[in-house]
Amino acid sequence: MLFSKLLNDDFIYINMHAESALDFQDDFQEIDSVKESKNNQRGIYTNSVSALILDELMKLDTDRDLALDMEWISEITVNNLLNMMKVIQKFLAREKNVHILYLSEEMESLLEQQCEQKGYSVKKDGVILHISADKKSNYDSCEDYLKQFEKVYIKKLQESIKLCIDERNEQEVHSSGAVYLKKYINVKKMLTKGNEAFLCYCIYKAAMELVRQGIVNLNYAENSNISLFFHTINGAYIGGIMSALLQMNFVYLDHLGPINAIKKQSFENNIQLAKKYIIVADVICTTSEVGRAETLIEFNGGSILCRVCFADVCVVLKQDRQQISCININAEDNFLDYTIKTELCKNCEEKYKGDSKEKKKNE
Amino acid sequence: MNKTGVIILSDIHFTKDESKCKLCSRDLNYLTKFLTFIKKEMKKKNITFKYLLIAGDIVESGKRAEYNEIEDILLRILEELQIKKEHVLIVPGNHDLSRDEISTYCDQNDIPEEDACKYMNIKYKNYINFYNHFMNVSDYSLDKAIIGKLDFEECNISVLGVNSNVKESHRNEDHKGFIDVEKLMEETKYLDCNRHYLVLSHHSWADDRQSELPTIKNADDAKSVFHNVNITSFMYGHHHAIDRKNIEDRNGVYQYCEIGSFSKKFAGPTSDSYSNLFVTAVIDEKNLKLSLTEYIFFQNEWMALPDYALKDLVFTEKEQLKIVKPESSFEFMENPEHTPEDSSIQEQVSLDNKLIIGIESEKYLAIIAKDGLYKEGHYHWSNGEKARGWINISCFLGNSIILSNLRKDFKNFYDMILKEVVVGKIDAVIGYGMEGNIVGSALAPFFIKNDIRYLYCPSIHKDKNFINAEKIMWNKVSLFERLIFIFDFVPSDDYLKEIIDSDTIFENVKELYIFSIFSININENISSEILHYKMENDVNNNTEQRIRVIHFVACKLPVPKCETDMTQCPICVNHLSEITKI
Repeated sequence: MLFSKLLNDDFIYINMHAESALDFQDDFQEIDSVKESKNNQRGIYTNSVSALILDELMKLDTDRDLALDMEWISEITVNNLLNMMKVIQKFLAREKNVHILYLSEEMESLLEQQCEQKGYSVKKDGVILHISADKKSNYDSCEDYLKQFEKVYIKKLQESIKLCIDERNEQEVHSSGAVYLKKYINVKKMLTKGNEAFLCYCIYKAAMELVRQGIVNLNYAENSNISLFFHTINGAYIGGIMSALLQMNFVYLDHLGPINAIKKQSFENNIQLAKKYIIVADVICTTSEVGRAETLIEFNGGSILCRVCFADVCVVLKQDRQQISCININAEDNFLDYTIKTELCKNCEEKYKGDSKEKKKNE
Repeated sequence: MNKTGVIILSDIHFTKDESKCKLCSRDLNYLTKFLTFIKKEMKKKNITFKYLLIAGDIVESGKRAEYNEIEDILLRILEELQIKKEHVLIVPGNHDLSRDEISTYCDQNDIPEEDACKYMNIKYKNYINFYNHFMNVSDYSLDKAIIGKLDFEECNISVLGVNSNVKESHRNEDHKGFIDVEKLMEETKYLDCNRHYLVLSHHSWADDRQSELPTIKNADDAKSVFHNVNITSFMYGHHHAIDRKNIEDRNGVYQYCEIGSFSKKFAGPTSDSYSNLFVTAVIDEKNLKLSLTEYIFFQNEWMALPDYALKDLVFTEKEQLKIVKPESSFEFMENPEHTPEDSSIQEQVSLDNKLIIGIESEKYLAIIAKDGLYKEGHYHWSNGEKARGWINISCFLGNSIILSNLRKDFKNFYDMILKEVVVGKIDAVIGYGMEGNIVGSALAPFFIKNDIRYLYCPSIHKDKNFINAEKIMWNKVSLFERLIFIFDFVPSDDYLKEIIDSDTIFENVKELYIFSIFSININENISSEILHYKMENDVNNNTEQRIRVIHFVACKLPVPKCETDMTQCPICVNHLSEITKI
């Protein structure tokens, strides 16, 4: 099973670092992971590929091009390089091309050598190495490819979220904030709609965004003062996976939302003075839940680094805190037709109607 | 007294080409480092390495010149480590084949190319010459299935060298492992049935890595033959990787140990791309086992790899053959209150009526003690309300190392019940409550990779604290029969019945496997079967639902529950203790 597999008519895309990071193998240690076990290179800290993942690639259908994203992968053993060549050969034998993204210099020269020996054509464009059996193959630009890969991911994410929507009575008050919601994004539904693997990949992407934003360091030791924090049962699912990816401790409260039902609990040793926390939630909308969590943390002496969530409903343009999400639902791209209403919306609607009439009159 | 050890090498791939082999005759630094390291290990661990096994591909190209040089190197190893030649066992690999010899032979004798593999002593001519010269023998032949035997003097374990090169030839299409099973059947008749045997071959016996080089193609047939003479342990090389496992297949339970490449180098710009390895085994004559250690050449030095699954190769009598569990095996605690009336049922399934406790339990208790997570007090407990504050479970579970250990505990539990109990598929794993879900989510990739459905739900007793979306388990397609639940504490029978009653998706449940983090009371009313009466519309016509239950607990930490009802308990009534039921 591959977590990051994305398909369109033209290519299969696999993120190799995601596959390695989500490969929570505790049992047999293959030789490829010997360095990992020494330097705590599990989760996102891994920088190599295991043979098992390459085995999965060999099972892929070869009816379209293959795109392998090797960003954050800097090491490959010779065995696995040869295994990767077998995957490449399999696709090339079916007259498909292979595009390898963000290959490190060292791996690139090893792979080029192997390809030359086999008579394959290798062409580098930007961060992509194109491999083909046909020396006359033409390729789109590197930017076009990268856009396509991003587009496929966003499309799948949007389709997955649409399956997670619970429709509500428009007048139904949202349980964790004083607004009316017509739609509830139920992340739990992703588990029952066959999207569990993709959800794990989305959580991985959010974890790597923490790295890109400089909040989490790829040097494991630098993150020792950071903990995750979650406060809902859905947040616990996301937080549990993120904790394993980031190899981070966490604190949780049972629970601050959607219904506030926290029982008397001791905070001794839980929220620590001067420790930094990343709040993990499933959906952040009006920030009422996360706000409560942040108050509790700061009251006990901790500080907040940022918030991470699966879906971010952007109700205001500027947030008071950095917020990282798998997907944004905002005014420019409201693909869910997500709306939030309050009683005062009636005034806005009437005023809007009035303004429109006025405008038309003036025109 | 010194222990006796065995050095196991494989895939030396000796060649004069420095870019292909670290063991180069021009620079014997690699060999010197190896010998120095071995001698240090001998001193440090009080071992005498008395035996040497080599699992094939001694040279790169089967050339006479290569054999001449490797013979000198091997002689130096024997001399410096004081290993006698009669304590050496070598088997050939596909690279030991003399391609030129067999190709020329076929050509000169008008033999079809596809028959080349049949001429064992021709295709391995240079190897046989090397072997005869090195071992001071004159009649060595590879026209057999068993091509060598080495008896450990300390105990009744022997190593059998098995020829897996029957189909190999100079042609690429012949590149596969294969054993002459007819010869094997004949030759195994003459084995001493009082000894235990470890098979040493070049090609692998148990490879589920599709993209790897071929394994022994008729491994199952050969294992059937070995099974009849109680041979269940295998060591091999060929893939230049390490692996250790025991696997049950149609013939029985087998132990496999794969040995890496001792000195092969990849001819590329980064010559350290290959991980070079070797294995040692210490003979435990009392317990009839070989304790394995793997070593890797890392950053220009040899070092031992950390231990992991299948640390020992165990040799047992045929009737006592059992699965050798990975590091976390289980301790069983009898439930004295519930001995089944029919003891024959007990014999059929050994896990019934027992509270299985994970072997990491003591470790968890040590962490709880160190971090001060446990509070003494006076606690009342009911299905609807649990006492709070007796353990800081948030701190406990929030430790990523604890969660990692719980993950391992769960996997071992899962493997065990699949092997020993469950007939059929587990329908789903359900993370119950916040803590159950936290443990379950940490296992999410494992569930996904193994096609196990995972769901989570809040406690049924906190119904009003959750919105519908959180309560519903979204499984209206099929009804569950076999479930694993992940709980924070061992649930009582009554609690389990309440959960079964709470949702129609449980109405067909027949088996429940409960993984709990903590026990509450060791003598809790836990049985191996609960009787649950499904309420039909006609209240006089209820259906009896028999549900089998197996319990596992990661940490044996009982809570001192007060058995008196809260309204009668003088401590509660008079507010004598602060830590009570909330």
